[in-house]
Amino acid sequence: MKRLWALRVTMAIAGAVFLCAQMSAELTVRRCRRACEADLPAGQQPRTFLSLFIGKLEALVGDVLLLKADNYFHGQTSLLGRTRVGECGHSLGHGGHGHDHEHACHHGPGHDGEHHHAADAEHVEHEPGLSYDHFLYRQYTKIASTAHVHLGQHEEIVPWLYAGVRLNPGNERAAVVTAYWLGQQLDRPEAAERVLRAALAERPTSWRLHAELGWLHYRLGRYGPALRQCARALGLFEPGEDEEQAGLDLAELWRLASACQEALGDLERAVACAAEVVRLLPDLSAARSRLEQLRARLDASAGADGGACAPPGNSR
Amino acid sequence: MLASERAVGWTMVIELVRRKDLYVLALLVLVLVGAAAAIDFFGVEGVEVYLREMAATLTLLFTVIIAVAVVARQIPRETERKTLVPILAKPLTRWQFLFGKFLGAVVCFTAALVVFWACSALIAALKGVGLTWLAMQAAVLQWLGLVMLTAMALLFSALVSETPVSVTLSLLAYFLLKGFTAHIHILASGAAGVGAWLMGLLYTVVPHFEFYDTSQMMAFAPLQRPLAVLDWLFFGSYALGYTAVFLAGAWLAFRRKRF
Amino acid sequence: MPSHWDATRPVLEIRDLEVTYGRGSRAAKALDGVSLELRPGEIFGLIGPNGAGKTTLIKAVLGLLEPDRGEVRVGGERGGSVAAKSKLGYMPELATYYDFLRAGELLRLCGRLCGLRGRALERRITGLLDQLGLTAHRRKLIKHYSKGMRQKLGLAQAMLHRPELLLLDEPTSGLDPLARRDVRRLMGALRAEGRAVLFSSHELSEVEMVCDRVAMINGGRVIVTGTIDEILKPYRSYRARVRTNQVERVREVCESCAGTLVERSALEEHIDSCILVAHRIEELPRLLVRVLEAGATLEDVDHGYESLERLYAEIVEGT
Repeated sequence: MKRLWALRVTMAIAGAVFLCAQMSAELTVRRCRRACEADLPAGQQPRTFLSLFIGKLEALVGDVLLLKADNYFHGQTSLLGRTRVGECGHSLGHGGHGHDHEHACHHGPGHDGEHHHAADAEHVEHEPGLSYDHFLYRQYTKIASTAHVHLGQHEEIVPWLYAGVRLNPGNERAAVVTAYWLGQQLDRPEAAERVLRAALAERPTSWRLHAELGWLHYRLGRYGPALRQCARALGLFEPGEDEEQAGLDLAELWRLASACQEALGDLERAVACAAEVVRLLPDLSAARSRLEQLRARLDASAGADGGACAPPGNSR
Repeated sequence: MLASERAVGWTMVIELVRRKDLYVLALLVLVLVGAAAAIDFFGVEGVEVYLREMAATLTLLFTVIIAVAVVARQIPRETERKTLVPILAKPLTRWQFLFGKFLGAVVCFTAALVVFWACSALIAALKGVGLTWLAMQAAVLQWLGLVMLTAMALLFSALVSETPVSVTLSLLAYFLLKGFTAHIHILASGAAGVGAWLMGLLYTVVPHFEFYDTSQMMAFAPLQRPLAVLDWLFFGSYALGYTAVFLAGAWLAFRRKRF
Repeated sequence: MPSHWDATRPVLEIRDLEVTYGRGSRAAKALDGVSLELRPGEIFGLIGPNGAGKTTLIKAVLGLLEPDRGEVRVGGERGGSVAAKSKLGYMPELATYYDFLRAGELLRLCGRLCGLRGRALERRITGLLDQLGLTAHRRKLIKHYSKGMRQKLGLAQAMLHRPELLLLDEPTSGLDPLARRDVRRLMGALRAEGRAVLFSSHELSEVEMVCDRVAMINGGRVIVTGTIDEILKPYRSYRARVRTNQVERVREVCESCAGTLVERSALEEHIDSCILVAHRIEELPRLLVRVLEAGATLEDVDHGYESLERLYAEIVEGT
């Protein structure tokens, strides 16, 4: 009995210490976590077990809160996962962004690149994916949402996104998703920018965060800052294990660069960047169509300049 | 009617009031729900769902703590302190004693549920978030689930001889069953043959506490529709059925104990 | 005695009671064929060393544990049944009660469990608290009570419903001398009302003072049982004080008589006197004649008992 109480007291103290660590940005915990960043030269900062553990725990908590927001989006309150049927290709964090990549690439500049969930106002019911029927489960559906729905009121997911980015500002995925929903669905671009900058303060070498900030600037008409962020993202870009996804991500960056160059009036560079998009996604008709349009405009205009963006051969 | 049981149960209510557990937890509910209501989420207005869920979840959580803490320590602690002996020496059966403890626990958590819901409703009202009258059915469902939980905790109390073990087992069993029982259904859908049959049997037999987790019902307005009479009959009978099973188990464990 | 009580029937009957703790090789018999009877208006003392089985016996009567063999009847009812428990009151050795209650609340709880209600219950509670001197502490929580006050409270809750039989486990433990006297008087009053009292105690002097009958338990068995007179009869002694200047001569006479005229005797020597001790009445004169022939003069003759403590020590230590 004494051992059980000793264990409880120890866990309570550990939990309290962890919570206290979260409340202050100055504590050693954060410095330890930063010490684990892969971009720091090996050997300069020791990667201790504690710092690794805390870092991974923070990331896990951030992801769980993101999952909670996703569950909210689908009309559920469960924290540990979904009990609803059917998969959703439109989930909050799909592809690490708040939007669908394929859809985004289909649209040209001027479009916000997002596909709207068909059920902005009401629920969209999908066919249940489970074939197993049980009387008790039917009764359960009387008090819980098990159908696949999309919640109409997007602001309701904000508390969990807020918790995710506050608890773990360096969680890239949480920051990107939060920025999308704040910036594009809830008309809070300044809040979105703050979230992204806070995340960048923790993870200055994250190309995704730079890219998302670039898109935010672009939508607000700040093409110069957008282009700078895009260039930074291109410089930091690292392909993941999924080659196809890496191609899509890089193409997205070049698309942003092209759109910014075009908005700034530099058609030659816009063409060069659009050509990169086509090189990466040769089968995408929208990309080819956009390149042809730009070339036609370049030919039609006088005094095209050389490419300001990186030569195609230098991109990763 | 049930005079001895009521006398035993009333003692638990006095204990709850005088030990001040209820006041501490009520204060916690006020503070936590109040804090949840006070946070500014990027200046976004009209955030209601999460506050309703927080109110429902915190209320249920603290009521669960009250229910388990009150009942799971009864028999082990009374055995340790020997306060059980002069009571059992009185002219009442062991079943009467056990049922009296159960009734007392029900009164205790009902009082806690009302107090905590009142605190949550107050905070929500101050924030301009309405807890509709339809939400009361969520509270009643919670109550039914707590009746079932109390009986289960009493069973653990009769089986084990140490208070911390009894409390820990009761809470662990409750949260595990509540969190994972619903997923057995998903596992069953992916299984075939004997596996599916076993999963189905498991799904049928384990007590479903998630039936009485009404946080979704509270949070999302579309779910706040009146339950049909047959549904009430089902949920009520299910809870009472398992309550009877747990109480019977507790009596079987308790009746032959030597003190 | 209330009219509905049967004075001819024993209040408590215990027949061949056996209780074993543990199983298999670890089994230990706490009670081994114990048989007892109590009649109305009798105070029965239960004595024995620690672990002898006294508390186990009381618990078996209360139904707190099921005996492995044998039978217990309280007022004709099966021991441990609700009807049997309604006829007895129990005061535990360790006075542990719900410490968050007040004395009145505890007694109210006990009264309701015993079927008492309303004003009758309140009057009874007030009367008992008054009788035991707890009225001034009625509103205090039990956790603030001293040991003595808890003992009194224990007595009160045991007597609340006026049972036929009271089981008191160490009722005077922790009480000051005056409080002990009060408890003894209370037991006497209960006897006068026709109630039976079975109490266990380590205070042998109290047992001798109060009890009508005594049972000595050791190792789960009843070693001896009966009235004080009956069990101490073998230890009765007859004494004669003689004055003499020749104590050594008297000693020689006593030693020469031992085993012939007298089976067992003792001599207490003083400066100019001796006390002759014989354990049978017919042996004292034989011894006295020899001692008087040796020149001593008779001063006094008396008889009495060895104490219960002597018997207790003999049985427990096997001396």
